[in-house]
Amino acid sequence: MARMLTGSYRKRLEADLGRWVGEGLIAPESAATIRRSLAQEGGGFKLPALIGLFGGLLIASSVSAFVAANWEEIPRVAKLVMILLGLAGALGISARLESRGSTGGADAAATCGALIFAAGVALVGQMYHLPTDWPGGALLVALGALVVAFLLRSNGALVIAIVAIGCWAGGRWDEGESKAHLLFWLPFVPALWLAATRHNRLVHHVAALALLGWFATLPGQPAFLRFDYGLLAYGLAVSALFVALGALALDRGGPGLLTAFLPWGLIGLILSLNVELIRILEPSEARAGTAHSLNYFAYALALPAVVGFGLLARERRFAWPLAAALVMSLLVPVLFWSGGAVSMAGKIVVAALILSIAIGIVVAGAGGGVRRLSLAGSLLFAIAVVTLLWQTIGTLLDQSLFFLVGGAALIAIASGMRRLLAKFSKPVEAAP
Amino acid sequence: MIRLPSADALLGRVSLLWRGLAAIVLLCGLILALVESRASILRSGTEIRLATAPLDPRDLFRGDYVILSYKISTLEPAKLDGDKSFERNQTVFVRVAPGADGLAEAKGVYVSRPPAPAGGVVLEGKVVSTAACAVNPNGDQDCNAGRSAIRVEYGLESYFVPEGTGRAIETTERKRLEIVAAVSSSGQAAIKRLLIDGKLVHQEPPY
Repeated sequence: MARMLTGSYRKRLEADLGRWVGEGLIAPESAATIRRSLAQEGGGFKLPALIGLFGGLLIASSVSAFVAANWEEIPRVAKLVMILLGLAGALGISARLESRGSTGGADAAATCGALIFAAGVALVGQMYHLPTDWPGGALLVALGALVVAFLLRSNGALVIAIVAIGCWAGGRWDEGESKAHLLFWLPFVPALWLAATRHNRLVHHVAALALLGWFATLPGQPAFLRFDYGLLAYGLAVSALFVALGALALDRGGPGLLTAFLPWGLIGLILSLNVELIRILEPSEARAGTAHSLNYFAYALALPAVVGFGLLARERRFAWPLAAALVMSLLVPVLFWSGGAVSMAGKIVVAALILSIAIGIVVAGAGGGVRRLSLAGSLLFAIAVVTLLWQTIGTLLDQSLFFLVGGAALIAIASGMRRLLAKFSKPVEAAP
Repeated sequence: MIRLPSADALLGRVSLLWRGLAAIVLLCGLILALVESRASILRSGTEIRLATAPLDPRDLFRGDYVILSYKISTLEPAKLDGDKSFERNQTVFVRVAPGADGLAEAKGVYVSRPPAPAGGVVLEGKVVSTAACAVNPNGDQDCNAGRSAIRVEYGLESYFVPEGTGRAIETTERKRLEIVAAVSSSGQAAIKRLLIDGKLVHQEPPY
């Protein structure tokens, strides 16, 4: 599992290495070997590559501004030749740098090339007064960037490609109104394949976000215009799906792309659960949303993913509380649909469910040593408690009783937990 | 866990030189193909003269291009040959022929391509609105006459100008502005010349 944790893990390991050497647990040479191995693993952009990338971005921006100025002193053909030469130059330099072993520099040059290609598409559009069909232009840019990302192994170009695919799909969705944009998958599948086989976290997160964006546009514009709480249930199920997939990948040690699903799924989960809690306490908003076919679709994806995660995960102390929390999350909209949410008992059940989900996420975070999970659970818990104080269930006295029972339950769990944890005696860090 | 075949490993067998060359050829080829697709329309397309029509002011000039609208942009299917009912974003074919003043007039609008008429051309367009105001004989919009018209875009609606020179075209009265477009046999159209008071102002070479 440790292999998958990046930035925060490195910081923690650095602190731990110092402590372990100090306590005589490991030799200083071993600590140095671990640090070297970690540095070679890469993961992010290194500093010279990053500065080079910024340089490449500025050059590409200069080309774009030059095109936008539409300067008539230079004939169009000359401008076109300049773009083509710039494109060939950037890609040529990228190949040359890669042959010299400078992968970071090669990536920066290839990224610059992909951006010059985008400027070239804009120039041709300007030369021939092509209509301002920007989604069409974005698709062309995506195809060019994909070619560069594939042939020159560029992560920067891959990020441009995924962003451009997202722009194209978003634009077409905007025009197409209620229809799902299924063509999105045509360029996105190769991009996703490339992203899955790369070890760059930015690429992983951009790909996860693009996929999340597609799910977000699936209900179609009219669904958003005449807002219905069915959408919230849909968002909750998609978030649960993302959390389950991300957590399973984290537990099984890969693929890295899937682990990037976890933080975005968690954000979606916390947001939608809190909205559910706020609205159940608001008499005018505590109505059931319509269960659209999309809700069934999202549940049909999320439920097997959650169950599969619970069954397939190696570290049960991590997987079971999280899977339980996700199942409880999926129950919240069901309670609304059943019509029980308007009653006092329904309100108590939903509030108790959401607090239990928060506790489940915190327990999973502690069990798996995944701090962002504990943080997300704590955040959900804190917001939920503040919400409950602000909009009470029944009277303040009822609310006080609710908190008292909840607090007593938690203290009972805490005292029982030491025995529970002792049963799973395997130490956390030794998890595979 | 699942191990996907890596694209980078698959490409490892191809030498860097070939990969670099392939990337350059593909990307430059894409741009050149785009250029050629438009240049061929300008070179060999049939010329038609188009009268521009006024548009709501917000559409006049955006950044570095002028938005153009034409008399044939607003069509009343009830008064024309062909199909009568259309949907937004639908591809349509508009048969045009020169009127008495030599400017193109719409004769029919069809969902599927009609046979090429003698002395006229067929333009391919996309329906952008199905409840537009009708247009009176002067070319002005007249919403009192109902909202039974459709608005069609032909890919001739943007005209890019050098930075800071858009004002001149913007302030020109729309009726003095005329566009000559080239139309390919497949119905694709490209702006070829821009005229003011019948005088040539901008000529678009193929390259």
